[in-house]
Amino acid sequence: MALTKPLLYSVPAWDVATGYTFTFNVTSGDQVTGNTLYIRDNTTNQVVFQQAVTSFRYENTVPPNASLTNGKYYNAYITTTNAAGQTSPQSNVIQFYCYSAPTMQFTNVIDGGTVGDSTFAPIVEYNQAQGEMLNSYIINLYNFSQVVVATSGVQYVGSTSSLPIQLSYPFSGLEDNTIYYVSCSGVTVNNTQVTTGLVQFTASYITPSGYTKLGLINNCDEGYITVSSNVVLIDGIANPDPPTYIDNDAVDLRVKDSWVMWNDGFDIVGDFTIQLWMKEPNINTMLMKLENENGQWIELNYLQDQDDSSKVFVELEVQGGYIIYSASITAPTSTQQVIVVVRKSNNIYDIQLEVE
Amino acid sequence: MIGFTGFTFMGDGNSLDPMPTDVGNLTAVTIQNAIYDDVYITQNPTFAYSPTPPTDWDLYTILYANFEGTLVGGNLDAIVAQISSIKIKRRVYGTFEWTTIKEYPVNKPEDLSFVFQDYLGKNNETYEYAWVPVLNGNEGNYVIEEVLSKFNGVFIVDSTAAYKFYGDVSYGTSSQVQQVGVFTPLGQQYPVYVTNGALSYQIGSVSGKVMGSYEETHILDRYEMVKQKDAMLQFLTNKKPKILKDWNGNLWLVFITGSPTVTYNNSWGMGLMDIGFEYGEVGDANSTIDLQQLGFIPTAT
Repeated sequence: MALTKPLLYSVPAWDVATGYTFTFNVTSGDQVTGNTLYIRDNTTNQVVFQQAVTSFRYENTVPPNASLTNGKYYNAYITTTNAAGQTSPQSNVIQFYCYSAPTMQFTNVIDGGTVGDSTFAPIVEYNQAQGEMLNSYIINLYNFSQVVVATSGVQYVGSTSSLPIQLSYPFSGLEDNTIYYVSCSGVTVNNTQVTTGLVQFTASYITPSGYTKLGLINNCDEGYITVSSNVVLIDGIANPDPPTYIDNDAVDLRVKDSWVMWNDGFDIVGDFTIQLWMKEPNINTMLMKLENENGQWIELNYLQDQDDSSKVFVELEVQGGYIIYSASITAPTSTQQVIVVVRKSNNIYDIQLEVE
Repeated sequence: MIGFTGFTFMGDGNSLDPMPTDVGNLTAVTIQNAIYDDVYITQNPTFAYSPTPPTDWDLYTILYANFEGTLVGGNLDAIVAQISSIKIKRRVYGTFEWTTIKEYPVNKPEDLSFVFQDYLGKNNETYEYAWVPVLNGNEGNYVIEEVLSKFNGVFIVDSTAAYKFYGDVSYGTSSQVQQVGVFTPLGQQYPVYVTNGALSYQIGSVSGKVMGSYEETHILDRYEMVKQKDAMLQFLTNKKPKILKDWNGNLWLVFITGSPTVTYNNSWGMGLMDIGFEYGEVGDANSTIDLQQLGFIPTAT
């Protein structure tokens, strides 16, 4: 038996400041008890680093800040030794660059930051001191559980004149007040891996509102979907129809069974404030009812104070047994304006009754 | 016991109330039993109490009725003022990411109504479409509807036109192209295979009969078929990428390669024709970026 030629594995570009562990393999021959790594300047082929180690492991670690320079091109080979002190033939020769570690970071979002839109195009800046280019990258969007919900897929950078470069990929459909994570990982042209790590952000935005009927029709014979947009105007219906207007500035709904309803063209989702300006409300009656398509409701009632008949208050009842009351106030005269405010914030209701 | 949440910590008559039921998505409002001057509903839960009604709509206003001879609670002009454009987005049902397939600038109320055809869907797939108002680049609430895309035939589509193959449609043998280098080292029984590139795309061919409007009229009109043949040849050679899709759920983003062919049926006085063409994939028909780069959908999302 004798030592056989070892196989030195290729390496990506690495940073002199951090060092690197070269690995190799030997498939037959004597047991390896040590190895020597030779690193040469690829231009002059002069050995610039040589390190012998005594170890059964098939590796040789170049320490940080060895006599190498970032930005230079090197080649390397390895020899092994056995217990008898014999040396193997040289391994194959591999070439590699030493580069300082590349940087990759988001420039338009910080960890724990906020994104003010439902569409977000994270911008990533890649840089490398010696000008090593990025070959490819992938940007992933994760939900709160850090499960990937959208990805750019592998994107190739192509030719770029100079560093730093900015990378981006748009994600849309982010939900309001929701936590997401985003990350970008890349591989340089010399196979160094670089990543931003996970960056957490919250989508939180003010949204323009509009209400439309979005029509979709599948055209079986023509192979397309017809998409139509028709904006809905919020128009009320009334009983009686038309209702009784006062000076074209108010509507009189004091008569029993008269009402005005809006039931198309809007959707009250989440928090809200409702304010009603009125006169002469009928005592001990329902002023307003809110409903959804599941038949759930909220009622606003105007009631006389049982302890003091000169006072009135409003009661808000939410289906399910939740009732709150406003403070009692002196009953308004027929000329005074009555103002009711109903608020919902984080599923907590508040009501207010005022007279002006 | 909402008092313990800190909202009214044992401080007033509502302290011991039960937690309210979450009655959400309110779609109907009824008022009665008073003379109403104004009704104002806003998304803003901190809207300040005001003895006088607001004079303008803002970004949060949902409904505002002032009963000046009408019951109108919406304001189209206000909506237009809040919106710079409308995006129509689409995604496969159950997935996360939306693709913008159309964007319409909004300058007047009529711009909010439009109709278009979306040819980019595959067969037997459920899609969600979203109507998205945009103000200065910020997107608003999504109005979402879904539809099952289902069709018969083979369609070849680009940004200018769409044609259908229905009769005697046939596919040639398709290939999944890849590049593999083979090196034969001396003294070694087996070669070394090298696959450095990521190249992977399909090539194939399609042919089908030109049938004019036979599907609707059940009449084979020679003159109409000749016109259709000429139009299809022009379409197939217009150097634009195309979508090829069929009733089996195949969807390819292709470029027409080679020269389209016309095979005449001489036993029918050359009036019946088959058109054939070869194609090669140029991208992923489900990729937003590929569809953007090839001009099928707008680049801004």
